[in-house]
Amino acid sequence: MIMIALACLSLVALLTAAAWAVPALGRPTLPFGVRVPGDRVSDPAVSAQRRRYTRAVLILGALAAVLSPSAAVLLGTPHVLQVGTVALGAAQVALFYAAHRAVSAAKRRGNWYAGTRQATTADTTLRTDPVRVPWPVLVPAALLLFLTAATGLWRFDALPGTLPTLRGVGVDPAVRVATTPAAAFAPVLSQAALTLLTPLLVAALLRARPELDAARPLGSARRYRVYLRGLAKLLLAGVACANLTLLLLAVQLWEIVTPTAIVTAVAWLPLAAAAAACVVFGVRVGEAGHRLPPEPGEEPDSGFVQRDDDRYWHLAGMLYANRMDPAILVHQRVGGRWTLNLGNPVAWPVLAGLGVLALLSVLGVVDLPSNH
Amino acid sequence: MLLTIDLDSEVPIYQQIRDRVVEAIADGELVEGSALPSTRQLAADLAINFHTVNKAYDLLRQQGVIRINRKSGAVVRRDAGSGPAEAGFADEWQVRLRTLLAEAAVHGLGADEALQRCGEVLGSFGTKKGTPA
Repeated sequence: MIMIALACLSLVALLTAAAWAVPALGRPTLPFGVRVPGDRVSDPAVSAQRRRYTRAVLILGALAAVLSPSAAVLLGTPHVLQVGTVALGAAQVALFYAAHRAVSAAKRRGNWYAGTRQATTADTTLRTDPVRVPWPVLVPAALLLFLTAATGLWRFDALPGTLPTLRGVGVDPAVRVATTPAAAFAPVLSQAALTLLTPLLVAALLRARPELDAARPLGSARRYRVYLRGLAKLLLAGVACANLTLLLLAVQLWEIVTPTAIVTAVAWLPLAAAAAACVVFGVRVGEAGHRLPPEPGEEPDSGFVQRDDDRYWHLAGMLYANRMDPAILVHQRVGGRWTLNLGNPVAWPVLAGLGVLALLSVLGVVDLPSNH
Repeated sequence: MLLTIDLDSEVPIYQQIRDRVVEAIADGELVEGSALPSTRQLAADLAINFHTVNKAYDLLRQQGVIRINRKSGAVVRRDAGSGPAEAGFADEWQVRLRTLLAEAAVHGLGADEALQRCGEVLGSFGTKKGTPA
């Protein structure tokens, strides 16, 4: 029970830190997913919402830190972990959405875009001399995939009739499944999927619309290029970390190494390092590179403001739907992620394909590598 | 090149794209042989209709500024160093110049000042580094 209580506390701390960081690390011209002109980023209405949100997130975190471990000890069930996580996450999303509505209302009331010149900007060099997929960074991931596959092939004939399974974060030797090629090579299949799909994702992200600011076209284009380069390297290096974690789990599944708490911790260390690198990148570079310092002599304000496209964004800057926009993949307003333009007809078959795959996976018709 | 489109301007977007490309070539930012993004890519980057970019590129092609190939896409066809202007260009250009100078005259800009400003603009061209394809 103590372990579950500690896990509850860690999750509460993690979720609270993440919820606190989202607006703090977000772009200043997009507070809570609302587009505001540069001269309104420190508007009292925005600052008040930032303070209110931070306070509410911390109070919520403190309450959850008391309630969820107590519930875990009193009820004695590990389900408290899942229920607590979902409830806390939902409450944090609700707080964010409330702040979004408040900033949006203040912007409407104050008519913040009155008297501004709205513009959109593109850097053609990002197309004629694009940031390319850093293939050499993928080499360690590919080598780890081949090493794992070779180890699996070498070990396969000597495997016992049943194999231990992955339960939670560790390998449980007590719960066993029949040794089949699919069960034995599940880690290799996951590695192969990651190694093949991540470069495709990176290539798509490099072609997505750059997030430039018409108020500072030159500076924002330079920063976006640095952001893209860093992100591409981070994602491909992340595949190597994930493949190493999968290799370390695989050697436990194949009973080359005996599962212990230390071995489990070591196995997850590469992925933890990748997560830490993402945090450092988020703090130092920021979404679309907005946290990078300006270069000496960088352009003054162009006199334009970035186009107000709030009406196409829904759910506090999470969903985008604009029929007039030919872009398919767009950078989300909140968090360093991309989303599909639901107004583009291409987005729907993509979503339908993913939906069908997810449904088939849930129904057990297809076996995704992540199910193992 | 950085292409900023003023969405509140009375100048149509396709005309703004055309003007910015011509200015970038005069500035030396683009030179003969420099590649331009595909129409679909530029439209997606600017979040504007693909036909608007198509119209701008078509105008630039008609005016002999760019050429469009199936394989290499849109490429700058000529710059200040590509030799003398084609026959008929100067006369056609002078018709548009007449309107511009007429505006100056109507608003009381003297001939000396108009000429001085023309010189300043001409002097500012060719100061940026080119990016050949």
